[in-house]
Amino acid sequence: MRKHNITLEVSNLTKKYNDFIAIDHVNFTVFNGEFLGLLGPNGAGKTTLVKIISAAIKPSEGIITINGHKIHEEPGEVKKSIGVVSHNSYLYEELTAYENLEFFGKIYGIPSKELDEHIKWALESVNLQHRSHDAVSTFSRGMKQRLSIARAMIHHPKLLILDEPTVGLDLQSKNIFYDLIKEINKSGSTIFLTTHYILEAETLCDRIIILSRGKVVLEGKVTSIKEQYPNMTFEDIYLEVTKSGAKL
Amino acid sequence: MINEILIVASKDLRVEFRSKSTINSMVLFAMITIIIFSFGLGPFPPYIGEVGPGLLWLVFLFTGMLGFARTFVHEKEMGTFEGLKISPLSTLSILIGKAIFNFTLMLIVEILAFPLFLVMTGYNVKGSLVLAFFLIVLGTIGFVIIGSMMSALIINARTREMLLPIITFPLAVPLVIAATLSLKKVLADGSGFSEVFVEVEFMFIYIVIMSIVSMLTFDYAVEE
Repeated sequence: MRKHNITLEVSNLTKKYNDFIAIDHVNFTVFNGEFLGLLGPNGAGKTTLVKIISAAIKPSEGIITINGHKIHEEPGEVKKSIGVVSHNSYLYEELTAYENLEFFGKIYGIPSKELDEHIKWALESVNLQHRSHDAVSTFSRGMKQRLSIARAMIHHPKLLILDEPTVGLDLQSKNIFYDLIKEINKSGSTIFLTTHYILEAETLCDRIIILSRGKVVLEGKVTSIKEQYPNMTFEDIYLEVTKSGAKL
Repeated sequence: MINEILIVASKDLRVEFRSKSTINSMVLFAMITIIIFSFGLGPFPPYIGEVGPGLLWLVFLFTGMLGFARTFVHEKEMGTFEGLKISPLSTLSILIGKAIFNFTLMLIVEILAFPLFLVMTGYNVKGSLVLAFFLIVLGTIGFVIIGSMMSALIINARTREMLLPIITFPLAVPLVIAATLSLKKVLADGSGFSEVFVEVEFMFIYIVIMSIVSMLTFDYAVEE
């Protein structure tokens, strides 16, 4: 693949907290329009990796390039070109859905003339236009997560980062959420999903990376991995690589 | 940059005036303390001219602590601070936006508390009330800068509400001494601007130094 087809490139990424190595020389690439899943058990380093990619924390070593911008050189440009959805919605409970999107639209530099149009588009995308003037505190968890997607999409980012977005959601809300992110991916957005739900990664993602104890232990297309290990279920493969912490 | 600061400050004010949780506590605390002081001192105490400005600043200091403690802690508890950190906002815009928010809350309290204090204690004002309020505002700017910065420093501490006054008060001492002295000169002695110029100058220098220190250290304060 040529460089201009790459949305996210992570090279030799390491994050240390004193003697503890949270991320250990991780390398991977996400291509334009791809739906990449990052799987790993609790404490594998997924959230740390997302925080570094979203420029919330600095790495100890390594280079991250997003949409052609290196994070350590142009953190502002990187932040403008990504949207992050976490299990935490980042929404202000006291404000209405519209006011929340208005705030995030402004800080992402959307001109005031276009802001209303962006907000309406984002609310319609997540089917919350009828609740636009209700306070977020009155929303269910599923609705907050949908609004969180609208928040992350308000500035039309090229890369959408989803950090365990379905934690705490009921089955109905999860399904609505899955349909929504599949639609977003179909419309051309690149999606980077971190999760510890194996089925979620298996059904949604084009390609997956399994992280264990801060290291990449398995990487490949879901179909290829299944073909490579025909006698094992995807769950068995996941358990095996995360148990040993070494490549199969 | 200015636009970003105003976006942060106006969002905080909108959130605050929707819930009114912090401003209500601050106003109530200031009012109750002044009323207790006035009853404790008795009607028209002869020494109020000397101790009044100090008592008033004591009210402002503790009232400020109530507000400053919530500045970043509320965002942290609600999980919205992460959202600000991953946004393109510069950390400086966040800090100054928060300081403007804190200043607005303090100003509201002072507009209500200052006249109430004068009335309840029967204070015999000899100087200019406008100058006195200007000195209160100047002292408040310095206090707000320190308080906002310190509230960011304690964001990851377990006993953050307890920690804030412990680290803020010692830093605020020089400012509060200058603010109290100048306020006493104006209110009790009837001094004009030229007689409090040294204190004004000191407060101004204090504000400049603390602003620079806060701007240089805020990134490290909020870094994980």
